[in-house]
Amino acid sequence: MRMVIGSLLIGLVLAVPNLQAGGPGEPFMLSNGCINCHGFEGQRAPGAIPSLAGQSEAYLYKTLAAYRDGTLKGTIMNRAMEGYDDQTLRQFAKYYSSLPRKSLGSAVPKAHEQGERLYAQHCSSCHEKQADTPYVKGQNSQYLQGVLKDMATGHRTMPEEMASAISALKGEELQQLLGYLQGCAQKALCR
Amino acid sequence: MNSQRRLLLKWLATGIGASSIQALARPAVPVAARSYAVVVIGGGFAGATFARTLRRLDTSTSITLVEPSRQYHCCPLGVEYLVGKREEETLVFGYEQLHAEGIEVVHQKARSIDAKRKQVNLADGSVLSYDRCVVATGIGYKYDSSAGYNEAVASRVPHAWGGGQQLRLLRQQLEAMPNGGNVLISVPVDDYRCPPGPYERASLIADYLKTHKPDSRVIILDAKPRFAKQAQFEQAWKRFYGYGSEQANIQWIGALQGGTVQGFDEAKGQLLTEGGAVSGQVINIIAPQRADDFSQYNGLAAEHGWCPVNTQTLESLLVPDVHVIGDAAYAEKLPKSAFAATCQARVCALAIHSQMHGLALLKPQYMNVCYSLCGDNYGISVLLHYEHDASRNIIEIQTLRVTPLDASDEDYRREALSAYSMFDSLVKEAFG
Ligand SMILES: Cc1cc2nc3c(=O)[nH]c(=O)nc-3n(C[C@H](O)[C@H](O)[C@H](O)COP(=O)(O)OP(=O)(O)OC[C@H]3O[C@@H](n4cnc5c(N)ncnc54)[C@H](O)[C@@H]3O)c2cc1C
Repeated sequence: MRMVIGSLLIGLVLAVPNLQAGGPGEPFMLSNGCINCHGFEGQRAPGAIPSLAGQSEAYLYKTLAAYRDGTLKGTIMNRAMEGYDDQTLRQFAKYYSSLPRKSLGSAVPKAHEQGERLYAQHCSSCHEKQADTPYVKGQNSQYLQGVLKDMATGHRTMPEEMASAISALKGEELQQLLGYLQGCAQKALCR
Repeated sequence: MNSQRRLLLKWLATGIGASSIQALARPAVPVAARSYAVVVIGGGFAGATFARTLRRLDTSTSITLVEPSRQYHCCPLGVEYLVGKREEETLVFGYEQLHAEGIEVVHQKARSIDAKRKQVNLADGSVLSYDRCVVATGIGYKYDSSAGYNEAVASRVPHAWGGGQQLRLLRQQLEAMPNGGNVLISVPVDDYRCPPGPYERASLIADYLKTHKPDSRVIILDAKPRFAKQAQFEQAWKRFYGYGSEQANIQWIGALQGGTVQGFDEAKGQLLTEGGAVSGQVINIIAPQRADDFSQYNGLAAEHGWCPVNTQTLESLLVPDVHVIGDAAYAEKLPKSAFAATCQARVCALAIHSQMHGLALLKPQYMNVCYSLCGDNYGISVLLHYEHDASRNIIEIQTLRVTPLDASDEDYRREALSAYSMFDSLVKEAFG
């Protein structure tokens, strides 16, 4: 039935291959309301709301459950997750983790080389290799700033590894690092 | 506070500058042999989101969108334009992306549906055949609702409940009003588009008056005894606009206090309410509403003025093979919001996709979120969860949760940021 399609659509068609009840169409229907903020592809324009596509299943489940249980305080997310059972949260987590991340370009411009080095040195061992840790390259910077502010003001737990990674950084290094992460959201800025 | 936290706070104070990220250019979908034909009438939030969702589900379907305007003027965040905080261009969207994705966009007005022949007749005389027709034509106004008010009056005394010219006119009138004048907003009973909209409008007008016309007041004359997010709005009004005091820049007169508007005296500039005549220099009558003219004239609307639908598929209960989505639909108990309209659009796209391929229908899922801005860096929201009840054809409200009254300033700030962020994604989903 499906014809040759543009490259963008391939991921989607794979993500929504058939819509039988009990099949992969169900999480798409389940996430109907989520789409208005997080996007059909789990990716969105910059802003206070994060993209979800390609985050690890473990991280997504942990975070959604924490919103539901109130152990993580957000604004609307606590209300949005209210009433969902574990099974549904797992479906959300599985679905969004299966959606492809925005492809990142391969060239890092000079301005971000130092940031990239810092990222590799201090961050990537958790943020790219540990299952229940968020992937932060290319994430919306306004959202990341909110999370960091919550950690800084004690409204969100800062994991010990992160606290020690941050204390190893100088002020301007943190700037470079975050500039690099933000740069990753831009086309062809990041590998 | 430990050193990492201090470092973070310091960095957060500096910021790293906003980025402007170019939307990824999307490749056009090659036109293959088209089998199934879907005609969508109306390219607002509902129609545009429907067309793009179905395109993503079914690359082989022929999708034609009929919309008279080349540019869509949206309502959400229009209030910021009204009070001079936003450029009008940021509220205007085109259909280029839909076209690039292989959706045929025809800039014509649809005149009628021939349900027997399964054809739509357009204003220029052309005819489109369909397997399924999806009507998403929005709202119309009951201009005969109060004495002294009619469509001609509305061209001078704007409802401004759609974007574009009406909103521009209200803005000009607000700007021209001398300090000390009153702004009157007449609010109808339910159902109307965007239940918290009048109060968001009043909030930002009060904010504008406070700065530019401090002796002026916005007075809401309401045909309802209470309203959406009332406690949250009133809390913000007290905090910012002296609500409840003599000097307040905002006042609300509910139905129980005689606020229901029964007539309009244009010569005197007065709204005639149950409690007596109220004078205003700027008058905004938000007329009572119904489904738009197209659905009325094509047998889609019931006596109450809205289009009854099967809440699982959004199929019209009155005309076969036609679906109605968005504000025009009577999909109880969803409100008339862009958020709910786009949820309906996706349920409808999934239903048509399933029917087309002989698949079982999925249980429909709906949600609604409405953000309202009450002032600078201050937003509130309501979130509703629903449960579909097939036996009663009702989308029943499961929970309704509003921003807590003891939220922190940071929470209100983030809700305002989220309002902008959600606007961006609603628009991106609809128009690309
Ligand atoms: C002041 C205000 C603030 C709002 N704020 C929010 C908000 O913050 N969040 C939110 O979710 N919602 C908000 N809304 C509600 C939102 O604007 C509507 O719910 C939404 O626009 C409904 O979408 P729709 O596609 O059904 O109708 P519309 O957006 O009205 O689109 C209908 C389209 O159909 C076309 N049409 C009409 N007749 C024909 C015909 N005969 N042939 C072809 N095309 C035709 C029209 O040109 C139009 O483009 C607000 C509304 C207002 C008034």
